[in-house]
Amino acid sequence: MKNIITRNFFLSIIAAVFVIAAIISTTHNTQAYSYAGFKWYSYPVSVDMSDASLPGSWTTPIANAMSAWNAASSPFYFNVGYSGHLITLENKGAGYAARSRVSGSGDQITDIDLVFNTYYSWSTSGGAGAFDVQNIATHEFGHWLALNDLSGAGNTEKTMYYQAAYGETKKRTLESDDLNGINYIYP
Amino acid sequence: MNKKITTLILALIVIISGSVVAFNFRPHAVSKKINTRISSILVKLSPEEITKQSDVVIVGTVKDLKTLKTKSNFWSKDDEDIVTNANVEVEKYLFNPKNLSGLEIIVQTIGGTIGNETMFAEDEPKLEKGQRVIVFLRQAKNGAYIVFGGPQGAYTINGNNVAVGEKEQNVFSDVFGKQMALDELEKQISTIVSSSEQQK
Repeated sequence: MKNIITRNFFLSIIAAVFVIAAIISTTHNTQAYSYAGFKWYSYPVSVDMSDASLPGSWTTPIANAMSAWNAASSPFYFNVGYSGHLITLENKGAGYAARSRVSGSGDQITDIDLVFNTYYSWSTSGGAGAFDVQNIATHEFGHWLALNDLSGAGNTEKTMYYQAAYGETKKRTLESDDLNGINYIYP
Repeated sequence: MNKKITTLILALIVIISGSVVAFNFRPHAVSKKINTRISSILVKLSPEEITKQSDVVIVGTVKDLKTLKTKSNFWSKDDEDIVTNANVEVEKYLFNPKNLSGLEIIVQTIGGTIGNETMFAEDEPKLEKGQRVIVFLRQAKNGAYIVFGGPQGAYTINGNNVAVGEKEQNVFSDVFGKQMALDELEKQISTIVSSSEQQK
């Protein structure tokens, strides 16, 4: 009888730990990053910087943004190539600094394009009074990976936070949750 | 008997918690029907910016929704967007520099489904029939009124409360600094509009 009680006590402890772990894990994942639900099935994904609208001075900050994601432990990586996954610059009016358009079939990404909005001023050095190219590109490449935006007070320092301001450069550096996102989608 | 019940309860706990974990590690929010997905990075807007840079700010109620395909306002080439036109019955104009007088404004948001084709725009507000809203609108090149600043420019109204749900409330606080009631928000917008007119 004593053995049964002891065994049941230990089983209860194990079950309780399991439940608590599940709850903590669910909460953590929801807040840490958000996955759009589709992905690339082969990589590298080539970023096409051949469009005439893209200034030559932008290639280094954009390459730096690619490198930030490439440094994750995930096997996914970006490179530069004539893929048709174009980066362009156009005046699109107020509201958005940049926008990515992802096309897919089923749960597979098949094409993607990125527009930087020249309605706003841009800087390659984090200058005040302009959006920093590398800062915004790093965020947008998160969308290319299928990461969603994040909002809320606990997410303001993350690359995938949904807003950006002039002179901001903090999105250039990935936070651990951004890295967890790419590592989760592309293990 | 007691032993059997205890074992059964333990088994149930393990199965339920296992299911929670399994659900958690499943890809999030997967929609295999989405063909095109738009994601952006938004410009952080202050109360002054979102008000003064809007073409019109209204309080109203969504009466009808219609999904259609139209030439894209944002993408070049010959791209088309699937958009949803919301007929919003105007209850009150809070900022109206164009002196609009219509009882209804059509608010166009990107996203919707036509046949087996779906476009989803992560940063576009999703207006619903019957929803009472405050919306900050800009007129797009095609003449349609679009929500300014994505989720920063549209909030659900419930009674005298503005912004419903965690995401809307987070965004509202980012723009206006705190949660506030509709009458307080209207007063703030009125103050911004007045100071803007005095500067002119």
